[in-house]
Amino acid sequence: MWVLLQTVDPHMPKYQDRLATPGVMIRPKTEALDVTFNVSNTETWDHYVKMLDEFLEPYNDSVQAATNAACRPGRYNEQPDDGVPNYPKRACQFNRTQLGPCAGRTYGYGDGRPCVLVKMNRVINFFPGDNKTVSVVCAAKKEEDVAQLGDLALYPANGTIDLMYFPYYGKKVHVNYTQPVVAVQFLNLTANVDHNVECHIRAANIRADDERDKFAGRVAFKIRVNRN
Amino acid sequence: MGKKRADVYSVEVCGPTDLEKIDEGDERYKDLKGNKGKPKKKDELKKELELDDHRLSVEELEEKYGTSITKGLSSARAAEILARDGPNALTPPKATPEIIKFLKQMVGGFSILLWVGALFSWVSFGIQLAQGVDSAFDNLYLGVVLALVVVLTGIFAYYQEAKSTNIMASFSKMIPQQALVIRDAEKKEISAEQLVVGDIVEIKGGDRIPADIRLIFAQGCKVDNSSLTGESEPQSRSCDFTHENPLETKNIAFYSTTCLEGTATGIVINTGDSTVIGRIASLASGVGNEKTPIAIEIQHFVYMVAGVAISIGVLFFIISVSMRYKILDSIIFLIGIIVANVPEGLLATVTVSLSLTAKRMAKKNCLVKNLEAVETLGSTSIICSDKTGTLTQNRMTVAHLWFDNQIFQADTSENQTTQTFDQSSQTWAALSKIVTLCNRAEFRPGQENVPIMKRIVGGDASETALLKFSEVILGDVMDVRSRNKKVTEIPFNSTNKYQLSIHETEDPNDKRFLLVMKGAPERILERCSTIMINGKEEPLDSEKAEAFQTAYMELGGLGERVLGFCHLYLPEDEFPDTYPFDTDSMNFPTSNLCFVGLLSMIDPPRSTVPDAVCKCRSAGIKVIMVTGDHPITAKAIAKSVGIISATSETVEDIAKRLNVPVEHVNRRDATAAVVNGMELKDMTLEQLDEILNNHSEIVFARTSPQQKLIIVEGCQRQNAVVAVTGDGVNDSPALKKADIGIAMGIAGSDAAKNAADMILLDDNFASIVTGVEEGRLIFDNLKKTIAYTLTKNIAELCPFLIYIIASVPLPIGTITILFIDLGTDIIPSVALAYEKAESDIMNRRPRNKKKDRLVNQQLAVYSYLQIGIIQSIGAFLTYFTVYAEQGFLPSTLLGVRVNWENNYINDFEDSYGQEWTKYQRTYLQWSGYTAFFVSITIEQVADLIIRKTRRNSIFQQGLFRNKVIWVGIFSQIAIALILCYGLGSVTALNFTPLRVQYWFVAVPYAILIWVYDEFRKLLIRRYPGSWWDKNMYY
Repeated sequence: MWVLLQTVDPHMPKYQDRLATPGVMIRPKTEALDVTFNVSNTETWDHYVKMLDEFLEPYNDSVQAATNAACRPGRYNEQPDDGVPNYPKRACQFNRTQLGPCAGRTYGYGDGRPCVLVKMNRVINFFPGDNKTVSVVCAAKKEEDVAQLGDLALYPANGTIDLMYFPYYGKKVHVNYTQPVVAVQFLNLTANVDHNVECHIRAANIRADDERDKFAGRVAFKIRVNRN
Repeated sequence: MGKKRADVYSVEVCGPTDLEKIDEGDERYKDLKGNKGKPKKKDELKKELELDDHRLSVEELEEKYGTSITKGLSSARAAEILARDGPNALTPPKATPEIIKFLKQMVGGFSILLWVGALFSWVSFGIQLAQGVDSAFDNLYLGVVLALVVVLTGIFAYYQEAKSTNIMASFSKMIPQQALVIRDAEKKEISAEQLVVGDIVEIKGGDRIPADIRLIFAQGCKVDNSSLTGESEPQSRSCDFTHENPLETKNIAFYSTTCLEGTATGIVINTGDSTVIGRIASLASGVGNEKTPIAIEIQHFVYMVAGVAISIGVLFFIISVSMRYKILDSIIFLIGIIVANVPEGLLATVTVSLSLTAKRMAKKNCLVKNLEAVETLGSTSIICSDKTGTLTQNRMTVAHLWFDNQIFQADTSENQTTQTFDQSSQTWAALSKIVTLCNRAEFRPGQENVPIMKRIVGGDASETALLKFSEVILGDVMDVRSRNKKVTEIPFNSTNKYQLSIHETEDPNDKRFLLVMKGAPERILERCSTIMINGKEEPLDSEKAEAFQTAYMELGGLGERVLGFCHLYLPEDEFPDTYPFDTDSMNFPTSNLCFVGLLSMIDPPRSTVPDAVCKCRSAGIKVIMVTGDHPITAKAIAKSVGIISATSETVEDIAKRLNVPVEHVNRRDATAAVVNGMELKDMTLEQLDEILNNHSEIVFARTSPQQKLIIVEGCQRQNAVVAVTGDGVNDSPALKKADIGIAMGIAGSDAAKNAADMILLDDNFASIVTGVEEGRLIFDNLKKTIAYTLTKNIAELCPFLIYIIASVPLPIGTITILFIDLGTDIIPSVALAYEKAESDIMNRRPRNKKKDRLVNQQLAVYSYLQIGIIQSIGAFLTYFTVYAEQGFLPSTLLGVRVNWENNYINDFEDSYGQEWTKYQRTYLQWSGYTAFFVSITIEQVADLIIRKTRRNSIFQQGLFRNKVIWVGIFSQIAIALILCYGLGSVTALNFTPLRVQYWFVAVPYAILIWVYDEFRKLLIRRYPGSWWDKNMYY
């Protein structure tokens, strides 16, 4: 066992073959990925707001400005070791304000236009998009439900995930790394109906159609707004 | 037990009174009297049993059975009776219905435990399905797989058993017997099964008696009743009522005995099961079949493992419940623990190992009917053996000659081609001529290429012996006889006790006739006035007569049948060429002859037997001879084969040596004992026990086959595992009663074969000894197999325990465990059955039924707690390595179980900050299963190698001697490779293609296992009897 621990690199796992396609998750993270609430009943959505508050805490512009660098958007932020192994890496700023109406207060839950954050799993040394734009696309799972789902707004604009947040260098060297997120706001959901939504990553090197892994490159969740 | 024994004792058939007693003694036998299911009043039963047909006159018989001795029954009447009584055949012992046998296999052994596992799986499937849990179907599949395992192993065991039963079925199938019957006033050949009471049947020499028959006409009829009463001499039969007892009277012939010569006609008085033989046969099926030692051992083992499984299962169920796991989860853990603990494949492996040995034994002429009997033979501590045919060659052979005042020894081995005694004397020339000429036996034609000893001869046993003897020495006997043409002869008869013939001589110049005579020595001597010494006739004075007496006594004392030979050249002038010899008026001299010599014959021991008896002795097996023969003959054979060793004496011997009365000899001083059947009859059980206890060398002579049962039970009271040989119908209760009954393949009756557990195809005692050797070997090897199989149970169990306690991702799945138990491990554990013995297993005592268990504490502790733990550590290392190299360091894994298994957590963080979806984690978990599986497989290779021996170093045993072990190793690895790389993509099996290097993580542990075990064995060899030896040797 000791020998095993000696041979393991603390900065970088030996194999990543299982993580070829990063998974996608949403916030608020709920049991069974089901976001259901009643607009007029604060208690039904209060915990979602709390969860998002907590999650977005490190994204506060002040925190970002204090710890992270403002990187040049549109290209990968590669930081070679330059001869010093595992040299600490700088993280790029992702300001909470970029999420627009989904940045705070009730995240739209109070007025029945809820926001859901979509994030892509961290994978060390992964370069999504092959130097081309990476974005999040959301839609109703079944095409006939599109009308019921209503309009969606994505923040940052177009649901883009900027390349400058990649690659990720791992917990040890990439302290303060801020994971990029995309907020999806449901602008006019039909009330009192279950909506099955699927968001997937649109990127050149991320497949979102794995039969077995329903969360590889995509995420499906249920959202329902009840109104009295 | 006491009551049962009383019944069994009365098996001794001494007429209707005894059979009645049996009936009164036990209601059970009512059914055996042919009135199945119809309980009759006892009086009626008695009446039915009263066999008085032998007292009736022919007319009375005709009236009783409504038949006519000239016309027989009418076909219509016969058909009526047939419908009433059923066919004339013995109903085979009631066989257990196939479906019951099959179901028994389904619930025996570990099956119950696995059924419980399957049931739990389905219950939790039901609950989870109701709760809408996605993974619910896993439990359904697991339940199905478990049920399938039970059913498949059940089918396998059933098939194995059926296969060995089939050997038997083909063996006992006989050509349907025909009987010549008079019906509708016509002689008809019908199948013996169609015979009914009242039929008139004709029998002739060579026929088997088709039913119990009251003879109404007989001519020179002799029957062989040996299978019924044990009398080996042919019994003459006539139509006279000679004895009150139907078994003794001459006018009844019994079903299944053989008519040796003559012809007879009789009325059928009993058919099928109501015949005397039928009653005995059904009596045998009443003797309970004891559980075989190996069955007891396996049961002990099953209880032990099941006990461990259940207690650990329940313990961890309680632990997991108190650790606030959900009840449902706790049940699933319980299933895992049960599956990990139960060696699913082991019982099938044991069956295969036993059947392999059975096959090997069949090659060595031991046909095993019941697989478990294979091992029973190995634990045998007393063999009660027949003499004739088993210890001896079953043919008379000339053993000694006496002429010229000297005793010569003849070669009695099976395939003699020459005789080496001094043949230069003129007396020998004369003697050989008498032996050749005064003999009516002839070789059946067309056997020129057959070795002399194997040729078939027409004639009685003594004459056959003499014919073969002279053929070996002189060459073509028939030629000698044709050159010395026989003029007249008087065949042997019991009044004269001699046989005589007169021949022309082969010398054309010698016109004298030669009178040759042989017979009982004292009768021959009476007729002699001279004796030939060194070719010269000398007067027979008292001194020479004394010498004759001494020689006669000596040969007789060897238990041999002695014949005297004499001759006389008839003077040419009194008996010219044309002399009309007349045997009725005896117009030739039969006294004042010239005595030439004595020849003694014996049924000699088989040449392999002394060696085999010696082996038994060194193997701690007591050989007891049980024979119907005369005590002197029995003792002589016992001495010559070593059943009574050269130095030991019987009470009688000591008395003779010390010249004191037998009563004064301390019985404890005698190591050997020859017990006469007559004495045995009057003995109390205590007296018999005392004999069996105090004498190491025992011969029972003049015993009836029924007394065998008493002897067997006596031996069993000494806590011995008893093997009994037998051939007669009357042996069947003893064969049944014995721990292992051995029937003779050649001489044995069907009833004996049916009752036996094993059939000796060549009737040779030595084959039993090879069987014993195989039986002991398989016991040792089964120990190794079980030790091998049990070891990995710990490596399968630990994952569940760690999983429950430390909440790590599950290291090995239930299905994967089944792949080890029923996949990779099967062939290697069978391969251990091919392992050669470590030391001379025939040099140690038979195992003690109570102390030397198949699975003892040492075996369990060493396998479970030592090798098993090393194996688990090795497998866990591989498991942790796989996880660590993918990003989950061991410290991260602790306590993650709940989140790890949550289907909705798809951003599970590893030690490096990367995030994993559920499926990615599950796949990793499967890689973990595969790694764990591969490690166990690799370590099992080492385990397999160390299990080759229990005491010796592997290098003493030879790593490559048992090729099958290597087949096992390769199969093991090949199966693992196929599962890992070939079926890695089949999701349901939970295997993934594993990186090559992970195959080697456990190798150091495999080596450690080997080194550790070598070290253990070294200390055991170095310090025998030490603490280490006592606790580490299994």
